[in-house]
Order: sequence, then structure tokens, then C-alpha cells
Amino acid sequence: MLAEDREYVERVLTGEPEVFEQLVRKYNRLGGAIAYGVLSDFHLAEDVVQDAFIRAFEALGSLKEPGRFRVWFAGIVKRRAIDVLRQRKTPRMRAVSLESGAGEGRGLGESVASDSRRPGQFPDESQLDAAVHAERRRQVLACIAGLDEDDRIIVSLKHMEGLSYKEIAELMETSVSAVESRLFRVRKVLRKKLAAVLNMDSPGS
Amino acid sequence: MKTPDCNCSTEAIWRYVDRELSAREMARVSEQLRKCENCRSIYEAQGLLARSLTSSFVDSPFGESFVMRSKERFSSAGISRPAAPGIRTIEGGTKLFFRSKTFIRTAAALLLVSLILVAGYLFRSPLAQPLGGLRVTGRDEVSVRTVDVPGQASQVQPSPGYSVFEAGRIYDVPPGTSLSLLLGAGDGRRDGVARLEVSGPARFSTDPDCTVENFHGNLIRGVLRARVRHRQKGETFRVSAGGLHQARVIGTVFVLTTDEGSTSLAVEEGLVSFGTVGEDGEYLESSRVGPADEVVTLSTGGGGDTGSSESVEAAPVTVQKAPATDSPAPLEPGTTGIDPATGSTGKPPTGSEAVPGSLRDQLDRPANPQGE
Repeated sequence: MLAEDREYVERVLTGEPEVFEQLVRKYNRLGGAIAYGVLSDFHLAEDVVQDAFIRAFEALGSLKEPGRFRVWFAGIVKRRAIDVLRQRKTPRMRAVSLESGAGEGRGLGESVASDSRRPGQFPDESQLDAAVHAERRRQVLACIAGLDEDDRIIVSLKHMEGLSYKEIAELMETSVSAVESRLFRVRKVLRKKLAAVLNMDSPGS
Repeated sequence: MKTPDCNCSTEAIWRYVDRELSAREMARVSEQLRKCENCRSIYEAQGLLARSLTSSFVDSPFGESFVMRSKERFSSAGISRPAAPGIRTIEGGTKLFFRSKTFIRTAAALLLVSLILVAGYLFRSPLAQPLGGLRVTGRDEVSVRTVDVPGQASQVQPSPGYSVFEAGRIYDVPPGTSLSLLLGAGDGRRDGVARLEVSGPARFSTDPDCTVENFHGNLIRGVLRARVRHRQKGETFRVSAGGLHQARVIGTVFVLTTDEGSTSLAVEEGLVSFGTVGEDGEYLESSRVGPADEVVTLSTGGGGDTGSSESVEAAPVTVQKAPATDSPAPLEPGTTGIDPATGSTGKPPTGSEAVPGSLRDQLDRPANPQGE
């Protein structure tokens, strides 16, 4: 991975800027996981990652170790995302109280009822399934949004990008054991908060 | 139901779910899950949570769709074109410049070609031989001077694109600017054989007779960081330092700074032989420097011209370094080296200089404050 990144960076620097697209293809999900972890908003995260790639391209010559592009780029994304968060000056997404059905506003029934279909027509089974899954995703994301920033980033890197503990530790500049214990703790919290949502799939629930 | 010999570790089962165990440990947990009902229920709950978390990101706008959506924005920002905002280049370099198909397709790039060709014509040197790519990074207002004859500097406005790195040039690097010299990138090689970064304020020159295979540069003053690939036998890579000192670089990454007759060397990778060179060109090794040695400084005391052999021979060479951890490896023939240069403008120092502790900090500072 390091050798491949080094080759890409050096090719960009030596007159093949189109090779930068390989780095975009390879690391946009990683950048997205970090930006989403900071912002809890996919659209803002997408803008941030695009900005970060442009900044990385412009400053590529200052990258001391081309093989470490991934860590360097992750730092650019995180700083840019934090800047955007500060600029917004609005509170982050609130944690959802699943017990009360509040939080983002719409409850499950409301979500299904507002699903796109012609007026007067009952939703069929597939529409109901889709609506249930969409609602569950929304509630899971709302729960993740209620975590601390670093916890959100770790969860995003693990479950959006599928990184190993070691890879997350490298990006977060911490130890593998710290990542591991943090993931254990965070997922325990999420499990508790999401118990009602997760039980939807359980037999008899 | 929990088996009597099971400790039902949720952490171990999470590692199993996350595929963070060795094959043997995976097999052990798998067997445990088969035997213990309690472990199995923990595993199923964890698996359900993990799948739910992963599937919650299914609507994320990243992946291949991101690449497609970003093309237009990246294109307008210069990505996929040779000329990028914030990257400023001096002189010709048409070989690399024309390599990009995107460039050929864009009318705007034609204007840049014209500018670069004109700059290349105006500021070409009769001694100049193309050696590699030269990029200038820094703030937009930065300008770089090339000097064919010392004292007769010609101002070159940076133009976007890539250029050749030439023999027989002197580069004045203003404060806040960083020159990135890619040796060997202009002669058809895809990757440069060496990359040098000269941080301003600095003056750096290339010898008129140097080639890619036998490169000879001179750091007259300032800070230089070099990453040099292993050379073939018979090839050399030499960078002079202040006209006084020489280092033979066995490793690949080193930092050199010179000022007022004092030369400091920091090695990030590999091993470097560091010493002085007499008037007859004979190299006298003073020490070998590795990554564990931090910064090593050679200073020469006594009066006279810094470039003269008398001042080198009359004055004792002081070496400041941390104790080496390993005995040095034998010097290989044809490895890289740093030797004395012409054109030193500094005064001879007296005694040893203090080790510049902030050297690495200086180099770690990004050339482009907007970038990284």
C-alpha cells in the first residue's frame, strides 16, 4: 500500500497529474468516513472531502514521505471538517431518545406514512420493508451522531470503511489497544441505545 | 446455556466479529461459539449490531460515485491537468508538460505552453543541460531567480507547468519558498532518481558538467533535504555544502544545512559519511551519521577564504554528534556523496557551531501554508 501510494504521488509530481485520480478512487471513502465522523452530515462530508483532495493536490510537493499519503490526507480531511463545523456554528445533531421516539422528529410510523406513493394507495410489502430499513438506518446514524467526535470517527472508520484496529490506530495517532477498548465501549453504548431498533429484526419482536 | 469452562469474553467475540484474531484464535473462538449457547447469543447480538452499523452507511455518497461526481470540480481545480494551482514552475519542460492528454484537450493549457516556451527561450543558459523536473512550491506571490552568472540575477516570474532541472544553474530561493528538484524526471524516466527540496532563504547551484548519473550540486547556503534512490555502481550523487564539507551518503534521506562555514547534517534513513575535502579533492571522513544521531554539525575555525584548502587544513574540524549505536557499514563504491563546492559566499567561522535543534522543525513546516 505504501509503495503504491509512493508511486502514485511521485508520478503526479513528475508530470502525470491524472494519476491523482487513483488516489481519489482509493481514499475518498476513507476521507468520507473521517469527515462524516466529524460532521455527521453526508453532504457536508462530501464537500469537505472534495476540498481536501484539491488541497492535497496543491500541496503534494510538500509531502515529505509520499508513502504516507493516507495519513497525511486523513489529517487534511479532519482539519477541513473541523473548520467547516466551526463555520457552521450550529449544534451538532442531537442524540436520539429512542425510548420517546423523538430525536430527529419522525417516528417509524410517520416515516412509513410519508413514503413516496400515490395518495390513497396503501404501501405494499416491499415499500414497507424499504421504509423500515431506511428508518432503522436513520436511527442508527442519529445514535452515532450523539457520540463524541473521536468515537464517531472510529465507528465510521470501522463500519463505513471497514478498517482494521491497526489502521484506525495509525490514522487516529493512538494505540491499537486504545482503539480496541474504545470500540468495545462505544458499541456497548450503541447496543443499549439501539436495542429497540435492533429487536425489530428479532423473531417475535 | 453457558458451558462450565467458558468465560464468555465479549471482547474476544468482538475480535472474532471484527476478524482481528489469528487463524488459530479464530478457530478457538469458533469452537467456543459452537459449544456455548451464551457465547453464541453474544456473537449474534454483536453481529446484528455490526451489520446494522455497516448498513447505516449504505447511503453515503462515497465510492465510485464520488469519483464521478467530483470530476468536474477537480478538473476546474487543475487535477488531471499538468498545471495545478499553487504549483509554480520556471522555464520550459515541454516534454513532461505535453504528456497529459487532458492538457492537450484544453484551450487554456495552450496559453500556458506559450508562456512556458517563451520563458524557456528567454532564460535558457548555454551551459544548461536538462536533468529533471523542477517545481517551485510556495505562496502565489513567490518568485524565483535563476542566475547564470553570479551577481547577474535575472528575475523569472513563475509559470504553471513543469520544467527541466538544468546543469550550470544557480537558484536563489527566497524566504518562504521551497524548491522541489526532481532529478532524472526530464530525461524520459518516469520517476526521478533523486528529489531535493531546498528551503529558502537558500542558494543552490548545479555544476555545468553534471548529469543525472553523476550529479553534482552545491548548497551554497540554506537548507536542503534530499531523498536519493540507490545508484548503480559508478554513478554518483554529490551535493556540496558551503564550500567546506563533504558527506558521502550511503542512505537515502538526509537533510543538510549550511551557513557561515558551518554545515549540519541530519539523516532520516540509512547512513551518511560526513567530512571535509581538501584542495586536491581528497575526502577526509570525520564521522558517520545515522538516524539515531540527531543533527551533526561540522564547523571549521581559522581565517581566510572558506573555499581555500589552507583554511580547511589549518583549522580543526569539530564534530558534534550523539554516540553512534552501531558500527558503520563499509562505504560502498558509487554511493552518493557530498563534496566541496565553488562559490561559497560565507565567512569562515571560528570554533564549533551550536547544533541547530530546530532543523527538523523547519523542514517539517509545509511550503504551502494553505495545503499542509
